[in-house]
Amino acid sequence: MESVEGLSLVGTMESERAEVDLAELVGAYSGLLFRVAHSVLRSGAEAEDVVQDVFVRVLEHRRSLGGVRDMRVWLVRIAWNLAVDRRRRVRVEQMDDEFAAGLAAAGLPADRALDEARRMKAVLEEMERLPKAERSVLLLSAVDELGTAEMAEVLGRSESAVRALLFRARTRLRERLEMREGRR
Amino acid sequence: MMRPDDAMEKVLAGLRDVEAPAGMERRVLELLEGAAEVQGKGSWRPLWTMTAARPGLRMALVSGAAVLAAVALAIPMMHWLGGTARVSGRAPVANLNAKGIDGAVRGNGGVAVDGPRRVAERVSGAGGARIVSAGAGAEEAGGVSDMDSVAMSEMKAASFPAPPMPLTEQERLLLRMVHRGDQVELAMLDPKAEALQDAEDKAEFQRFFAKAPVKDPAAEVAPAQDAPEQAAPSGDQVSPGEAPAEEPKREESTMKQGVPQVKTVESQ
Repeated sequence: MESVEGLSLVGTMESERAEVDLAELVGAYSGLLFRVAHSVLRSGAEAEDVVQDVFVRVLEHRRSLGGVRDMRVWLVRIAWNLAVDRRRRVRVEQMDDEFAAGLAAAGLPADRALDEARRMKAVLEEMERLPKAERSVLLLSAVDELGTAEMAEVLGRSESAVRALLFRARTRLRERLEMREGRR
Repeated sequence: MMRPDDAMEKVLAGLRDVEAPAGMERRVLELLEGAAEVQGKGSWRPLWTMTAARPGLRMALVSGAAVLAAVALAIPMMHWLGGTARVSGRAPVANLNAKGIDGAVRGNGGVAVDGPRRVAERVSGAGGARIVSAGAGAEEAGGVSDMDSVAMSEMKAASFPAPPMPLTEQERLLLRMVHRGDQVELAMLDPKAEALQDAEDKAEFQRFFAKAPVKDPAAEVAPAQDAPEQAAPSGDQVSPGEAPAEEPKREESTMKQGVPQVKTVESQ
């Protein structure tokens, strides 16, 4: 009986430990999750909604968080999947317009700012035309806080595959942009 | 002029350097607080995790479960024993006499007014028959005393016949045909009657056409011979040799036109 009680006590201690501090998680990862979601959605409001959804999911599964090996990768994966799912319901083209205009408007004359915004928009359009795997790797690499191993775990691929996809994505994007410039 | 590489790097840098809106963390935490409150109200923890550190609570739960199990076993047993005892000493519901019904339904509006009574009613779907059992009257009738016995009696009562099934399409067609009363169609239903009808038709046909040739020569020869004689005084230029030539035409017309024509010839 004593051993049973001791076992159950150990069990309760482990379950108490499994209840992570959500406030700490929000402080540590909300910025990263926002950038991950923003790379897919290119909208601040939509990306914030995704971050909130991620932490609501964490709250719902807080008792099983003890089994999560890498909290950072796990959260990024949830945010990535939620953002990709939300992307199907929003019009990204309008958000790309605003994002491109915001990139080009830093201290330039109006005509040059307009031209540069058009180029940014062209880059975003060509990124969207990339194959899905290449586009995903390129967007995750743009966040610049995830290593190859972490990107591989988020996307469910091997590290070598992620490297190859990233190389192909950059090459293809450059070629297409050059072709587009040549046509003009 | 910006090169494609530069534009690409600038876009990727823009995606990297984007900053979360101000107050996002606070909003997320507020949302989580609200969600945690909602979950706390509706959430429950398994009993074995709650009782793990409290042996007293565990013993109380085990003993409570044992009592519940005993009660759950005892109730059906009591019902079974009581039901068999009552059923053995009870008359069937069909024997409820008019005295019991009268005791239940009398006075204003048909409601019993003297003494406490229980009335249980069941209106059957098919015939609209109503079984009424009243406390005192029913006990006089056969010992139906409480709701359990009423339920048992209803269960044991003779079932009422089901309402008739609707007619099929073929049955409706047959019904329509029979009620029209057409003899030929009726005869089609019975091969013997059909054969009889055919035989009657044939006999009538033969009778009709068999009579006509027998009658015609006798009836037509005399008028045919008389006709030229009657026609001559009228002044028509008819030679005696032409009269026989008209007779076959008359016969043909009578054969074609039937009895009324023959009668007209005879009358002429």
